[in-house]
Amino acid sequence: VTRIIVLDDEQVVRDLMVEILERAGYDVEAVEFSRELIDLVEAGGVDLVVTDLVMPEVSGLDVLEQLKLRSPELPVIVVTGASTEHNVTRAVELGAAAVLMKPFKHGELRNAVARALDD
Amino acid sequence: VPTTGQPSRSDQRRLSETFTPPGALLQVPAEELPQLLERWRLAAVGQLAAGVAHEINNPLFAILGTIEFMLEEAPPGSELRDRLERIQRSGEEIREIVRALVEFAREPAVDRHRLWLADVCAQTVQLVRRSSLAKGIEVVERYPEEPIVVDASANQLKQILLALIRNAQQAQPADGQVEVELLREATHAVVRVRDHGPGIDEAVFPHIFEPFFTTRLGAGASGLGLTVALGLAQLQGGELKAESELGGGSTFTLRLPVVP
Repeated sequence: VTRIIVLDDEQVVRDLMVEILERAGYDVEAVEFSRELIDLVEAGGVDLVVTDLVMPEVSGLDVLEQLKLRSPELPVIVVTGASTEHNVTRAVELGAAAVLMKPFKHGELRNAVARALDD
Repeated sequence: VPTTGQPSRSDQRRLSETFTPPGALLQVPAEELPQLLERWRLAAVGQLAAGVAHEINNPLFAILGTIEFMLEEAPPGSELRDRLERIQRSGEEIREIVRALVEFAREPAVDRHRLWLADVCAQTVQLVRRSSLAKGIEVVERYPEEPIVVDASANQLKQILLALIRNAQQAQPADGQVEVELLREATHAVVRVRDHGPGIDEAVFPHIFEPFFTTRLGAGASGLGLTVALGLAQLQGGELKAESELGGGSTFTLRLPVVP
């Protein structure tokens, strides 16, 4: 089963993304802090990461940069509620598989995940 | 990954690009001060808008995402379904208003450079393909072999093109095709964004650039996309025009003076 980790500082958002992806048949774990995410990725067995962009403890762009340094092939999808063009462009430059603007439809997340896993 | 501190490294970089420390005021010639203060004000408004967008879009995602689950379970034709759809439409309107607020608050054309227009078009199409804007539409690009150079703000050109592509996407079925074509006509660069939708009704056509005018009222449209695009085109010293044929789709044409 494909394993996905979701990083978002807001529980209501984490819960929703977990439910969307679990209903699509993925094995999903949600974390609040970037350190937990990095530990899980370093432990292995993670197929895809979904990360928020604007979080109080760390920027999603820094998380993306760190993930790509450790696992260049790991697909990372960035989700954001504050979609400044600078952020979106930078996320794409850093290797994000997709950038989704909140609020997005369930299907947009499912499609982005499926495409990223196919690539 | 840094685990403490706010804002993050990226945000700090961005802030340092945007704001000059107060001490620098002393070194600014008096005649340049109003311009500098205006730039600070606009940067602050932009950051405020981004902050508001973040604070609203997260709970809005929770509302709309939950409604979507409930709609899957609500029987077709039921009163419950009608009510849920009403909440969904209202949520989508809030989303569009927030997006329009962020677009309005972006920095003006203070940052013009000589640009290869084909690069800007290609980067924008790339953004569309990699973001949730694409929604299944196919974007076809046509660029000339000769480089076309304009003096403009790359960010604002991208914003214009994003608005035109979004508009073209919404004017036709979900699996439609949008054409983005760049060419040169004498002293001007011409970017055409064409859709294959039903075309714009005659009664509607004269109003399409008016603020808050939309035919998709209640369907999540703000009525500001084309207004902002027109304003930005004029800021670049260019013009934006529309042509439409009932049954034959619509074409939006951006014309910009080329750098010889």
